[in-house]
Amino acid sequence: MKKFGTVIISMVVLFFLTQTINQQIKDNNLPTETGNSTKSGNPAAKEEKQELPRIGFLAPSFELKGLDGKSYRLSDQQKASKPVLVNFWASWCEPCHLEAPMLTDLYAKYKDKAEFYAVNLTKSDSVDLAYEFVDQYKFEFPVLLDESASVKKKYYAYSIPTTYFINKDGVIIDVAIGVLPPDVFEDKILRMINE
Amino acid sequence: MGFINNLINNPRFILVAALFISVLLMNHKAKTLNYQNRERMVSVIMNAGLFVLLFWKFGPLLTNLSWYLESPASLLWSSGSLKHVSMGIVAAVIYIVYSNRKSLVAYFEMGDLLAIGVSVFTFFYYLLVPQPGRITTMPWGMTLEESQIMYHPLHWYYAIIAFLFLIFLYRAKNIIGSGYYVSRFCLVGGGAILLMSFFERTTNFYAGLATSQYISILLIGCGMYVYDGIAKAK
Repeated sequence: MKKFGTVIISMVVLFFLTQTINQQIKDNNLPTETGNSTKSGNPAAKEEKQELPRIGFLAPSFELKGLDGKSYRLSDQQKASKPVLVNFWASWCEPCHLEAPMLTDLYAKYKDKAEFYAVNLTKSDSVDLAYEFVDQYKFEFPVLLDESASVKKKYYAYSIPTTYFINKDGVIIDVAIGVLPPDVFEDKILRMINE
Repeated sequence: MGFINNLINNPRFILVAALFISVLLMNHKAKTLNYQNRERMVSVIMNAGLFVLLFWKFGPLLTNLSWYLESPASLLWSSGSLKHVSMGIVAAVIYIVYSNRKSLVAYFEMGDLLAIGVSVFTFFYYLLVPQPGRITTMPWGMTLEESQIMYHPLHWYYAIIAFLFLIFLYRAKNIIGSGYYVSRFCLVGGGAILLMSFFERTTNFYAGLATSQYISILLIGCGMYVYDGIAKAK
């Protein structure tokens, strides 16, 4: 019983100690209104600026022409503080066919809260086939044509479908490689919207 | 480079390979210590692992049955999430409790074996899947892409701790089931998680602490409680 008491007391002490250190770290990294850190030379501000296709980093920026002829930039959504789902697909990709109706349904449900960008790997696909695909699954969200495969390379979308979930601050919060079951897909979108 | 980054975003192959090596080395250590119950206990651990794997792969069937019925091929291409892994862990714990229902010793035997297995897994997996932590100016910091910014190599820190702990474990000659290995594992593992949590980049806090910090404090508490082994824990 004495030992149990010692263990509990040690755990409580650790709890408060950890809480204090966390607060200390938080205070040191607190950004100011201008976006810089409170302490000069603090790397936290730099950290926020780095663009990498990894969870916890800013999503790499891109600009692509859409199937509708318009030009789309990821930064437009970030300026509007809107979460963005970026899905890489091709018409020859069988799992993409499984995922497509899900994307259509989820977009209809969440289009007010998030934007979807479906990036077609046009370099290894064709615009005609992309049109057919979009018609077949009635995509209402922007379909972007990655004709030079530059965005594919930026996002390491070497296997498709690959989906990036980007929150309103432009930070990648999740990456899904392969098809996601509907409830898992929706959970990730909700996390993207709420985070 | 692209392939490596793709692997880092989706390190399933490394995960499976690390699990395989863990079971092999765990089995080997148990053999060198002449642990009598080795085959049965390793089999229980592997079955528990299989439960987690099955729930991860087929768990979504429970919540998306109509989707799978419409396109059965989805079973090949899709898998679950952390939610399904958690369901698998619950099922595995129920199975372990049922398998070891007759003795307390069995839990310590399993704990000791798992301590070895998890340490081996941590070493191999974290060594091969790097993870950037907070920004650092230390010379051993890792860089990403062409950037000059250096980050704490979080997973490599874990791998170093796991490697040192493995040397300690492999030199120890205490019998499996004494609780020696699991108690040290809880203390070292808990301490390592707590220390590393301060180098993590993004963390969600609940009442001032991250989830990993709650887990680490719990592990340290467990380690302290069973430090003297099974006799005292009884």
